[in-house]
Amino acid sequence: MGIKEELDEALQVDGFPRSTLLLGVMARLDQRTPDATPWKALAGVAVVMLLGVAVAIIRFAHVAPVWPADHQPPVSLAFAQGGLLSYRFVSSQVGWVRVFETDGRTVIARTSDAGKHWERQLEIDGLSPNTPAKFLSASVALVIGQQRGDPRQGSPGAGFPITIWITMDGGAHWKSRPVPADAGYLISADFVDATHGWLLSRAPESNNAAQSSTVLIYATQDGAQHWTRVAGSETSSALAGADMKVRLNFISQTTGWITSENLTGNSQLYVTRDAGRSWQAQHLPPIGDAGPPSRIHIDVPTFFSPDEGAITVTQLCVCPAPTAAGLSTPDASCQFPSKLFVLSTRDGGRTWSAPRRIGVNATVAFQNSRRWIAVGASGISTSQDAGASWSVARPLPLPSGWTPFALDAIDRNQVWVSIREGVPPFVLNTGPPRSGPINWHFVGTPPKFELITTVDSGAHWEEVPLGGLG
Amino acid sequence: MVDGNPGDLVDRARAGDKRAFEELLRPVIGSAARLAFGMVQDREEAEDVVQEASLKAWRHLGMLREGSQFSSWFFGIVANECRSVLRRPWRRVLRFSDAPWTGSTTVTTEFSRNADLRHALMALTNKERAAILLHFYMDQPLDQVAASLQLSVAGVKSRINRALRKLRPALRHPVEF
Repeated sequence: MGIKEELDEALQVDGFPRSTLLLGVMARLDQRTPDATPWKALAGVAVVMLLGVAVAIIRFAHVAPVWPADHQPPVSLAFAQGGLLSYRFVSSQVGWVRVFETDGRTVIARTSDAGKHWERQLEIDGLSPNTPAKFLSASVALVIGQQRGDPRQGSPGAGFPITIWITMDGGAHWKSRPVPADAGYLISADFVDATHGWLLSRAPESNNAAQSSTVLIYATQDGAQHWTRVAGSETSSALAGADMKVRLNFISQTTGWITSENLTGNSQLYVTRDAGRSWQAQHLPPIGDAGPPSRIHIDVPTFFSPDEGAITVTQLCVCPAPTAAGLSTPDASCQFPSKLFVLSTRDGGRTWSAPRRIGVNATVAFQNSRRWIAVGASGISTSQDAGASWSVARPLPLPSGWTPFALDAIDRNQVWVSIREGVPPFVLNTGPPRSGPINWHFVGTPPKFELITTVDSGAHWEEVPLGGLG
Repeated sequence: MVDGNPGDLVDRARAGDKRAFEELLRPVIGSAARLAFGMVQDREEAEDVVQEASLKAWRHLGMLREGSQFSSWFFGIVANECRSVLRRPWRRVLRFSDAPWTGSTTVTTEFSRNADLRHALMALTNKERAAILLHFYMDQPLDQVAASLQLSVAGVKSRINRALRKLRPALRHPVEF
């Protein structure tokens, strides 16, 4: 056996259907114009080179010290609107956003020029703003939700049909696929590719908090055409606990996690390694100061290689509230993050390191086990040593009243940050619950949202106009 | 007309003939997908890479030099696009396929060894990995690999040698090169 055979064996993959690949390319070709002559191409190269030189000069000029915040004018936000729910850039040019419009429509839009222009790809009436969406690649995206509509006959409280909307060609065409009626209420969903997905739902009969632990797991292996109930509270003691299961996340076709919150607000993590059929509590080292007046919130794990991953854990401080006796008790409705920890694994999540306290109060994204980036109120910062030390935060030049709340990054230079003006979360009214359509809408003044981006590690920022969306 | 390419397809494609471009792509797109999969080891990403690389090829056909083969030029674009994909490692969740376990020791060992080779491939530099895949996995002659990667033949040889040294612990059989 030679190296070719060894490579063939190691890189086994079902044949790529040539016709499908060609079809996808030719469909997208219709939107483009070729550079008809070498001169045009050369001119393009010259422009790119000039831009490269310009960027290099700008970067060189700002390597150190950190660009002072007060020397940067606030980024102009001419297009800020309401309703940006989530976004993901799958390459330096291609990105997706999910926007909730004031008339109750959820809009999925896609850019192929780094956000200069957005094309509406899908509009759905009456979805909850909490609807999960998964932007897997430039071609594949999924939206999973319960659309408004008449409640199911003979099943009071069963909610509204869970539906999957899926595109395989960058949003040009979408298919909607229903989930079995007995799935009940959608809690969370995840897909690892266009075919393998899971749903975490609450059983139809458990339409109140007291029965909230009756959860079900459904799985599909054919792109949501067929669903199988693979687990539930009745078969898994881990799923039968009194804690509320809140989020499901898979990292492969077999391995996934569920996060939950118990009555005191602390999180628990559960793991499956057999595609959702069985679940066990994930053992983690003690983290932070759990217990009143603090809560521990565990996020689902992030993996940057098959073996290496991390979990971010936030310690939330619960505000004290005065009582009639003059004593303070925790006010569950008021809490703020006080400490951030990261736990890491090198064996696919079987064991986790002791929590490392991160000295930034921010959202953290991971490039690999060492290179991390954080965006918070004090600005953008990077670490080269797994969070042990951080660069001096480079402040974001935001207008007064705007704060960052999420980030996505291609590398340490090209970063997108979503920012908002107003107090989250927005309040929604669901309208008449069981007679006629649900009407989701903002109550009061909705916060404004916008995306800003940098291509030079935060030295300069500009608005990504979401004009016409939101 | 560009040498090594059928008929006047390149000229027609340059003039905006999409059917001609489709005919240029048809014989190479499957191989390009295999190369992309070897480079990024993710099927969905590989398909995306091929789509993006095809669009880039369409837009920049004017840069295909006289005497160059479309396939080598296109594989070079694919390899570059893979580098872009791998340079955006801020994936919140990395997708990877697990083995179809059967419980057999043999299968476990095979899978483990294959995983070693896949990991070793991913540890190579982009050009090293591309050179190995183009030459050994896709049977491209050294001069075509050099054309794809915009290197000299000597440069390709040196990268392949370096890569083979790095891959050796993960290979079952020694490779003479």
